[in-house]
Amino acid sequence: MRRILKAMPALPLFIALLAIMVYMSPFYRTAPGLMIFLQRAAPLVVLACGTSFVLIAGGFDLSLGSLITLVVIAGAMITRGDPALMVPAIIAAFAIGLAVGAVNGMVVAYIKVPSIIATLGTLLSVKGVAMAWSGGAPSSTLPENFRYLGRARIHDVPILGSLPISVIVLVLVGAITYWLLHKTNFGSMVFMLGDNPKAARLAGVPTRGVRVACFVMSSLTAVIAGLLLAGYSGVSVDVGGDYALQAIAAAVIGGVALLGGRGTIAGAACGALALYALFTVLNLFGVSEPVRLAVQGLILIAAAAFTARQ
Amino acid sequence: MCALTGLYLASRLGVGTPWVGRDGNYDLGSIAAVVIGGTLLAGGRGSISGALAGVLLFAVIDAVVNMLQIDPFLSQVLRGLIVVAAVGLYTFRTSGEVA
Repeated sequence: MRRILKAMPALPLFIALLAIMVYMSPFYRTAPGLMIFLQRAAPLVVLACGTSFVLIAGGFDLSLGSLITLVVIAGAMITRGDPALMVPAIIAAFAIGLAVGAVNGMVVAYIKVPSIIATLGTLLSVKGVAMAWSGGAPSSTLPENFRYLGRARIHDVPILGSLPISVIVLVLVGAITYWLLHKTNFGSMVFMLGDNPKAARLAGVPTRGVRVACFVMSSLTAVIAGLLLAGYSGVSVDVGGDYALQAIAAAVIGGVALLGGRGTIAGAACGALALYALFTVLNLFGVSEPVRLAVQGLILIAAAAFTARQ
Repeated sequence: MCALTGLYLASRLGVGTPWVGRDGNYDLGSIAAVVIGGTLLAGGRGSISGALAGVLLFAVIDAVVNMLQIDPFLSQVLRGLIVVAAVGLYTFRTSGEVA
C-alpha cells in the first residue's frame, strides 16, 4: 500500500474526485460514462507520460501545446478532407514531432540554452508556422479515417459496452513509456541526468543524446495527443491551448519532481487523471473557466509544495 | 525587481504591438521578453541593463518586422527563432550541463 502511494501520490486525490463525480452525476455511474471520461482525459494523460521524461531529466517542455495545434492543422491542410491522404498526413505529423523534439533537445544539449527558453522559442515558432500555414483560420475538414483514433469506438465489448480507441491508445502509450522509463537502461540514465547531471556525465552517460531523446519522447506524445484531439474535437487553431502547462501540472501533481530526478509514469498518469477529474467536477459544479484556471494554479502550487517537502 | 522592470516594460511593449491574435500571443511575447531579461541577468551582466536589453531586443524585432512588412504569423516564427538565437549566442560557450 505504502509503495503504491509512493509511486502514485495523486491516487487518493483522484479517487476522491472520482467519488464526487459519481455522486453528482448518474452518467458517471455507468461503464460507458467512465469510458467517455477516460476518452476525454486521454490526450492529457498521454502528454503527462511523455513530458515526464523531460521533467525527470530536469528540463521543461513548453512547446507541446503549439505542437498539438500544428499537428491538427497539418492533418487538415495535408488531407483537405481526402481519406486517401490519411497515411501521409499521419507520417508527416510524426515527422514534424520528431523534428521539433530533436531541435528542442539539440538547442538545449549543444547550444546550452535553458530548456524553458528554448521551448518557449519553439512554442512561438511552431504556433507561427501553424498560423501562417492555415492563414489563421483553417477551413479544411479532417477525413473520417484521420479522426479514427480520437473518435472511433469498438462496440459490443463485454462489461464495458463500447471501448473508445482513445482508451486503447492511452493504455498503450502508458505501457510503452512505463517500460522505457522504469525497465530500460535509457530510463535509468534519464533519472541520473535529472538527479545530478555532472555525476551522470562522469559516470559515462551520453548526456546529450539522452536529453535529445527525452525531448523527442515528449514531442512524439504531443503528436499522439494531437491526433486524439483532432479526432475528438476537430480542426481549430486553439486546440493546443495550454496543454503544455496542464501536462506539467499533471505530472507534478503526480509526484514528478519539478527540477528532475524523481517521478514515475504511473504517478504522472494518475496526476493527469486527477487533474481531468477535477476539471470535470468543476464543470459539474458549473464553475466558470477563469475560476477553473485559478483553482488549477492553486492545486499546482500545493502539489509542488507537497513534493518539495518530501 | 529586475523581473518587475522587465514585466512592466514588456507589458507596455506588448500593448503597443500589432498582433493579430489578441490574448495568447501577447502573453507569450511579454513572457519571452522577461525571460530574456532574466537570463541576461543570470549571465551576470548586471541586473537592470539585462532586463532592458531583453525588452529592447523585442522592441527592435517588432520595429524591423514592421518596417519589412513581414506576415504577422511569420514574424512570430522569427520571434521564436531570435529568442533562442539571442540566448544561444552567449550560452553557447557555457561548459557543464544545462537542463
